[in-house]
Formats: sequence, structure tokens, C-alpha cells
Amino acid sequence: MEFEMGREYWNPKVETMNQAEIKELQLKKAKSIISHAYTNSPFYRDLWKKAGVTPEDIKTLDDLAKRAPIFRKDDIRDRMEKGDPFGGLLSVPMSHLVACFASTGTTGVPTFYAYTKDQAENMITAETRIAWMVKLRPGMRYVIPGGPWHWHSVALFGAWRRISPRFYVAGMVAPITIGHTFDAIVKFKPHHIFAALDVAFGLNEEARKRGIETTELFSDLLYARTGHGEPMTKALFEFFKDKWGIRDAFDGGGIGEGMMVCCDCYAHAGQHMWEDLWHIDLVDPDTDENISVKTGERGEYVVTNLHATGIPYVRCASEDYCEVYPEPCECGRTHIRMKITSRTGWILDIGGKRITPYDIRLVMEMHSETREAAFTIDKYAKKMDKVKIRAAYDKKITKDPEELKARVQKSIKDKLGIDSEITWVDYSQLPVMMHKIMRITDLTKA
Amino acid sequence: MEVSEIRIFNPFIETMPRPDIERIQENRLKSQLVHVYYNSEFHHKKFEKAGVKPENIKKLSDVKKLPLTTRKELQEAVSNNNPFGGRLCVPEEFAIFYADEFPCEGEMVYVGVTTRDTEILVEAITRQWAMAGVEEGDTVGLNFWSWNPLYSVACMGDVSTTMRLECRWVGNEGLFLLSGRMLHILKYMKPAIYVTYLELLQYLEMSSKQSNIPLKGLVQKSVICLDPAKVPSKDERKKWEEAFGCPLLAGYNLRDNLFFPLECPERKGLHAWEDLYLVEAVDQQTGEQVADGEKGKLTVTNLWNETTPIIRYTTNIDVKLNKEKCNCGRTHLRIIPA
Repeated sequence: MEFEMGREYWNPKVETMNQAEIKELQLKKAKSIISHAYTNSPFYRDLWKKAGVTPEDIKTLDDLAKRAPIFRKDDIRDRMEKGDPFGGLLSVPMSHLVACFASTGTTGVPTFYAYTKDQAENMITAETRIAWMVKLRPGMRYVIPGGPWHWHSVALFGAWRRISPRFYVAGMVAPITIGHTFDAIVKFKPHHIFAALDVAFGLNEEARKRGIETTELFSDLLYARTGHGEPMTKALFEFFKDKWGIRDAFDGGGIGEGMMVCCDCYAHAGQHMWEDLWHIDLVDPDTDENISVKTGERGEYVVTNLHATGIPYVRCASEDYCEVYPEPCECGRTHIRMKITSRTGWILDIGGKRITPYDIRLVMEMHSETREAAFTIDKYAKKMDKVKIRAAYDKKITKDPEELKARVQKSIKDKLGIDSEITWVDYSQLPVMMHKIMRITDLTKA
Repeated sequence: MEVSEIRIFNPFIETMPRPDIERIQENRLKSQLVHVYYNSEFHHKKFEKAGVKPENIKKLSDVKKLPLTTRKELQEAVSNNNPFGGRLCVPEEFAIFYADEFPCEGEMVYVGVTTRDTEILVEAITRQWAMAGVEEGDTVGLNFWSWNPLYSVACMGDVSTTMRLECRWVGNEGLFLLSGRMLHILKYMKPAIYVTYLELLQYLEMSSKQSNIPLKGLVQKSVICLDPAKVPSKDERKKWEEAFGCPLLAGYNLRDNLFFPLECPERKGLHAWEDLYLVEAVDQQTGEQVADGEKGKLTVTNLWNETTPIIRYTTNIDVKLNKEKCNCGRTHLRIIPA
């Protein structure tokens, strides 16, 4: 079935705004949100006083990136322990909140997010632009997870109602209810699905178990929105395109602290983040020093939410490591693009270089025998002189594993400039959690 | 609790005299039957087989002529090419569909709501929450399967119970694994009511012992337990009311027919909104209603859903019906689990 795709943008005026205009808008919004946070939130007042900065000192976006203090999730724990669920961040009366959410994770004390009504509206706008960008169109059959308890879902459901596909709520975002999602796909033959990466892998596994070809299962599927976990690579896009027989798969992402969402377009050149709603800058994850935003620059990104008044986030460090591309994309959108490569906790120090599992994956995917990038890195010390990898290769096309090993090691040396040691193992010997291979096996803690 | 303290959200409907309620029911039943007969293949076949037509139902007591429907029948009608088993009464474009409960045995029974349906279900849930004591500015804790229509109707978007009551919600998936997280949510957010199901409470208690957070005082007004086919026994109720230090209100979760009856703080039977549902206690052998106060199987006809309504959906729940006015002032009938 063919759908009228119409124009590329949901909101052309905003999505293709020129950079100067965006910056002007950001500065205006930032100033107002900063003074709001400083006046109403005890946490920010303390934080900024300690840093010796007042809202009047922030006159340009450069000031924001360089002078305003950053904070991390753990910095609000103290106040939470004293009984304030929002850790002193709440800047409006409780009665202005329409919904509260707890962060995901099964153990430990969750942190809380909340929506005011206008913030929910803004989030729905952000999500609608994304849903349109990932080619969701009216009349498409759309199978989606449930999960309104997740802060992201309010925006998602709102956006879907605006675009009005025919939608089927089945299962939740986690792989435990994969049977429900699978059943809905079998029965309703969707044109578009939303499946986080672990759910997507779970669907493949379920199809294998039931003896159904995935191309047959997804016979009507045109597009999929996935991601929300590991970063997608070219090889992974190709994998889904082949395996599911779809036209394109998109990579979504986001962060709870800062309540930010982003997603890539058909160009797959990084995830677009709407700069009229958020501002990001980069810092060094170890020293918290500012890194200027340039093409291909890497660092931990810091979010300033420009529209959240309920719980304002001014320079909240995300604990995610990313690459940024500030120049306009080939799709015509002018907003900044980012490639979230890993959690900052996963960065490895190898021969004095910062290496993420994503880097290794890109190299592994260059070779057709290890295209599936089934590997785990053994972290044997805090500072390592070479990377130790346990990996599996495709037995059907590999003739000489030793020769392949030498080739992969050489390309790691060429691309990343580090030494490596590869041990070939079987697929079943790799540590797997929720249908995903754990990229780092931490031996230092054992 | 004094009657005057209890808030009634829609007093006109909720305290309506019985003859008026029955007039509304009769009216809605007739139009629902016409809608279902001509649009639902599933019901059309059943009616033909039983030899009834919508015209044959002239008054409420004629309802016994209609055939009963069981969940097994719904599941048998489902196939991969016919996911609704012919129950769908509106074009697919107009509705949102929800998958079955988890875990689900056998074929899944999908239910759907259109925009108009959503408004009505919101009204039904709003009356209930107000009955359970929710006021403006309160927080509601939801710990339920997130793809139950109740969840998204109660809390998502502009047309929702939270918007109507001007309260806010905090939610969690109805999964055992996440009970530790729910405990922290309750601890910090201190909700007025906590909507959950009975089995989860045991896991919550386990987490409470592990992390040393007592359950007492976590919920301000009442704990609501919605289960598919049972209500807590006397002992269970006593146990949980002591543990939480607040009343436990029991309810049924018959999501197949979008029916969620609930107790009022009097705890003398589950209130069903009779302007929206036709509730009967029947003898499944004969298909006839039992006399008032006698034991029969709970059977519900949905009078408002235009998407996937079920006529005379019968369950295995033994109940007695009480049509007397409740102490809380509501005149709609109460379902007494027997």
C-alpha cells in the first residue's frame, strides 16, 4: 500500500530556521528559564551561589556554556534523601504539575520527572516533528508499546494522536511482553512500528522460535523507529533493512535528566535535536571542562531545557558521550545533530586514548565476517595498554579465522591507533542481557 | 464516613431515581442493539442463531431473549486474518486498539475505543475516583498494566480523568520486578489513592521488608485493587487495610467489555454505572436473570462502546445484585461478590 508522504517537514518554519535565528531564540529562552530556576528552585540558588554566578552574568550562549555550573544526577540525591522527591529542582507549586514520573531502573531510588501542562504541549510538538520525520503518516497501521508511566510516552501518544495513524497498543517497551507485540504484528500487519532496539532483537528471536520468516512477518512494514539504547550504525541499519525487508529504520534517543528527545532522519547523519526547545554543549567527562561545539567533536553533552518550567534543567550533565554536528543536514533541517556513542561509564582508557565500544563496533562492521559485531570487551584494568576483545565470526563465510584476526587487529590499529587482542568465541558464549550483547565485561570489579 | 463528606462527581446521574435509570438503560440498549446487530458480524450471527432481532427487544425484561457471550467464544472467533473475530463495529481508522492482559492464555481479545468512547470511559472512571476520595490537587499512584485502556484513559492527554479532576498521576508498570521502584514512588509522592491489583501488593510488601520502608502512611486515602475475577477475601482485606492504614476498595477489571466497577468507601458492594452498563446476575444454563438477591453469574452489556462492544458478556464470577440505595447516596445497583 502506498501512502502520500507529502512534504518532508511537519513544521518547516522551525525545522529549517537559520542558525542565527535559532541562537537568538535560544538566548531569549535560556535567560528566562535561568532566572525562573534561580528565583524558584532552592537547588539552583545554592549551586549558582557556590559557583559565584548570578543569572545577570549570563549575557550570551557562550556565557551559558562556560560560566553556568553543571550538575549530575547524583548531586540532587542529598535533597531527595531529606524527603523532597524532586531534589529541590521543583520551581512551580505542586498543583501546576499534571503528571509525575520515576526514572527507569529496577533497583535503587528513582529520580523524578514531571510535566506541567505547557511543557507536555511542547514535548508533543517535539515528538510530532520527529514522528513526521520518521515517515509516520495518517492512515498507517502503527503498532506501538504501551508504557504511559514513562515520561516519553505522554509526548509520543500526543504526537500520534496529532498525526492520526490507526494505532494498536500492544505490550510495553521492555522485551518481557514481546509475545503481545508479536501477536499484534502478526494480526494487524503494521506499516510502521516503534520498537526499541532490545524489543527489535526480541522480535527477531521470537520469529525464529516460532519458525516464521521475518520478511514474511513484516510484509507490510515500511518503516521502523528503533534505537533508544545502543547507537545505530550503518551496518545495523542495513541489517534491519535486509532482515525485515523495510525501506528504512530510524534511530531515536533521548535522556531523562533534561527530558530531551532526538531522532535521526533519512540521511542517518546523527540525531536531530530541536534547538528551539533544548540547548546542548559539551564538557570533558573527567574534568568538566567546556569543549567548544564543532563538527565531529566529542564530549559528554550537557542539556539546558529551554521550555520546562516545572522542573527546570539548566546545564544538567547527561552522563552520555556523544559526537556533535552543528552544520545543516542534507535533509535541510538546520538544528544540531548528535551521535550518542555510549554512557560515559563505558569509556575505556586504552593506551591513553578514549575508546568507546561504538568505535570498536564500527571497525568490526567493516569486515563482512564480523559484520554482526558480536563482541564483548574485557575490561581488565582501569588503564589498559591494549584492548582485549572476545568476538564471534560468521562461520559460513570465514575460511581462515587466524587470517581474519590479523586483518581485524590491523584495522583497529589503523583506525583507532591501539593494539588489540582478539579471542574467537561462539555466539552462545557472549554475555547477553535482554536480547542485547553486553559490550563491556568488567573484570576489575570481580 | 458521613454521607455529607463523600463527594459525588455527577450527582444528577449518580443519585438518579431507579425508574429514570431504567428509562435511560432501555433507550440506550435499543440503540446499541441496532448498532451491534448491523455492524458486528460476530453478534449478528449469534442473534440470527437465537432467532432474535433488535426489534424484538421492546423493554428491559426482554433482554433475556438475547444470547450470552463468553470469553471462550470471543477467542474462538479470532484468527490471524480476523483479529477482532468480527466484533469490530466501526471502521478501523476511527479507533485505538489495546492488546490483552499479561500473561494471556489463548488468543488475545483486542478492545478498541474511539474518541467518543474515550470521553464516556473518562466520565465513568472520573465518577469512581471521586467516589474513592480524589480531590483537586491530589496525586494518584497507578500501578497497572500500561496497555489496559483504563490506564491511558485515566491519565493520557486532554480528555482524561486527571484533567477532569484536576489531579496529577504518577505511574509504574504492573510488573512484579518493579515493585521496589513503586515503593519509592509511593514513599516520595504520597498519593491519595493507589490503583493496583492484589497480587502486586504481596511483592510490594516483600520490597517493603527488604528496604525497610513501612507501608503504613504511604497512601493517604485508599488503595484500589482491580482484579479480573476476584475481590480480596475478608482476611486479605483486613491484612492490607492494617498494613496501609487506609481502606482498601475492591473492584473488577473486566477490560474485555471495558467494565470497571468499584466499591465506595462504605465497602458494601461494587457500584456499577447503570446508565452505561446493563448488569445482570444470570443462570448460565437458562440464560435467565435470577431474582434480586439470589446468586448468579455476573453478566454485563456495554451500552456505550461503539467500537468493540459485547452484548451480555457473561463471566464465571458469582454475584448477588443489590438495587437498594447505598448509604453513600448513590442509587445505582451494587454488585455483591458471593
